[in-house]
Amino acid sequence: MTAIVGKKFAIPYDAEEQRKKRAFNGNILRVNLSTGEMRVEEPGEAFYRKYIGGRGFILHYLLSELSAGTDPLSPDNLLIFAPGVMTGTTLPSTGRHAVGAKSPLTGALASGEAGGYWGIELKKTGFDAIVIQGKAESPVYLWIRDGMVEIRDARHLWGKVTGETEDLIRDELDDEKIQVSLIGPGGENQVLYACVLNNTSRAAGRSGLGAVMGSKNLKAVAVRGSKAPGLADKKLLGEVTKWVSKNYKDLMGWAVETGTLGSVKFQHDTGTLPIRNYKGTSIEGIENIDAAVLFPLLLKGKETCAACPVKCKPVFGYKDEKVKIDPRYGGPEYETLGALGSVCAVTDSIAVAKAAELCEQYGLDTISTGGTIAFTMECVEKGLLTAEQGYDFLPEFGDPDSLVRAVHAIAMRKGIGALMALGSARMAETFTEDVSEMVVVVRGQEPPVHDARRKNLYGMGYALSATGADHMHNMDDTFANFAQSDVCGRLAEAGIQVPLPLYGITEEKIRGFIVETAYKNYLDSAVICHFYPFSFAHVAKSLQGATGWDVSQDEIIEIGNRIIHMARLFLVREGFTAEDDKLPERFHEPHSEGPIAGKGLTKEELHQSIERYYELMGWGPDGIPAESVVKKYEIEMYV
Amino acid sequence: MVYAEGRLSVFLPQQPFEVQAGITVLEVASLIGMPDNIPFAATVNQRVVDLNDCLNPGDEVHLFPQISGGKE
Repeated sequence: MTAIVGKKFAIPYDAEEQRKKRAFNGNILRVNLSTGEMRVEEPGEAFYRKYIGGRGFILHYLLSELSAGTDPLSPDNLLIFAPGVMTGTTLPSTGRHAVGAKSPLTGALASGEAGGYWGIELKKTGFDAIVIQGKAESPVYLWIRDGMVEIRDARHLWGKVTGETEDLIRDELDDEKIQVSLIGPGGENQVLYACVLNNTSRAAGRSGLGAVMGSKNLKAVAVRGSKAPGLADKKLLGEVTKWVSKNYKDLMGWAVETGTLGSVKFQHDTGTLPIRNYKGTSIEGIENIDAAVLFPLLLKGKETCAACPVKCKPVFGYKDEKVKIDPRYGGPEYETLGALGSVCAVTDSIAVAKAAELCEQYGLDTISTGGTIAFTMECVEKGLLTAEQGYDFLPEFGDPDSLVRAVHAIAMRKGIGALMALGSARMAETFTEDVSEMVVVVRGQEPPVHDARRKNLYGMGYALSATGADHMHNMDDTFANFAQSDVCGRLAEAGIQVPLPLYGITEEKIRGFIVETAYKNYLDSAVICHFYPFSFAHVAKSLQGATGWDVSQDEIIEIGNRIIHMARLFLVREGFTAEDDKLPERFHEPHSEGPIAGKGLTKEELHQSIERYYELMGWGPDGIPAESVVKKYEIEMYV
Repeated sequence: MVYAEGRLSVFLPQQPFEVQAGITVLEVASLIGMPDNIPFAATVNQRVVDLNDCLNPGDEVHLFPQISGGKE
């Protein structure tokens, strides 16, 4: 690639009057990196109402255009950047977008959402999504400015960490307001759980989207636009915005004060936080990786996303003679502190924060990075990996230095890092010994740091998720047990009797799960932040205000469930069966001590719950959506 | 004996606080004046419990704030 390949699309500004009346542009950009071909699709308003954006768009394109069995790291895989119809509206919570593909880590769906400012900026260019296929001959990046699209040489950016790449692109294009979604060396080296970042601290983190981007020789997608999306009914949307402004400090006090970091010790004390690769029940020094200690030690400020007043994102900085933590990479969240901290039995504040910062520099998913390092640490502890095998170093439980070294090694695929870059499930396959009992994954992906022995319904959600274990499109047992939570509020709107029992999986919990996961899949398509305690009435009203569609709570649930059925169809055609809807052994082994001693979910209980879920969803005992369901949701074309 | 952790500690009186046996954990939270829309989890005698579980004489209750929104 020596020349810049570019094309100017006039479409975004042809329909100026139309743009002002709704929150989407009507244009989807298609780019083929193998041929350099670019074009724009205009799928029509019905398409937007049916799929909404985000995960809905991602699944539509994967099911329509990707052949079953495609190698996720081949040029044929699709990489889709998709804000939603709500992205970039004036409603707080909508500064988000989704990224999707077939996952190289799981072979299933990869669909992650990121906050920040990239999604709104893309919509301001006149496009609602970008569908990328093919592979460039050499590293390139996409540059999109108000309907103008260029494929530009990125050979000088290859090998650079995320922060430096962002700086170089902004310098090269001479505009510091450009928003950049990109990969680091982790994605370039196709670490199977590399992520796609924007604003150098927001990640579409899970399932290896960065590796897909790297396999296409695509370093970044830079965007800058000047035309904000319109609104159908500003007054109606404004009613929800006013409700947010009035209530967020009370209802989201935790987010305003400490963000998710303030819960690490409490989650430890209440048995949610996994320890030492899920074998431990408590750990000394847990407060060192909680906001109580981290904030006084490292906090330099707080960040937020477009249109959000909450500012829940910490910014950490630190410098001494040995360690520097650069504030441009933000700071860790609860999931990161658990995965890189307690799961690895490390509670050294600086080491865990540095490991998190390195994941942002290199573009690695912090949850799978921590989970894989912990698995490796246990292999070392049990003598399955030794220095005699030729490794220059091996990570050990509780050792802060080896935690940080492990992150470097993974990103560069050096030494033991070459194995760890595969994720714990594939790494386990390289052993001659049977290590399956030590592997904590669901559908090949390391789980978030919410122990399924403590949160049984979450466990069922892990087992069923099309993206591998996921805590976002799921229902938390803790909040279902508290009648005044936003979760229970939504369940009550849908006619579910609340509160629900904390432990176990009851009929009512499964029914509640179906309602709540439909809501969450709607959020991940619209694309809206999960932290806001919206009701169904709020999201229906805001969608109506943004688009003019007369939508009800039932339609929100229908949209969410359509996306869940589509995700299931994707799993089925990629060869997954009901037997894959399972949990790792350790989630079935109760602790003998600690706050959740004796608690857990037997395989039989999980199996029965999943069978009942299939039934309620209209799926057969084999977990395949019935013909009648496919017809009802108008997704026959994907079967 | 009741303890409230983190940001919930503002709802506890300065002195140790005792409640009658037989009431639920949820009722304990209400009794100490916690607003009803702050999500929390609880342990009784260091075991995580359902918020609707009843207390026995001598139980030690800890209330922990959780990350999620309340409703109006």
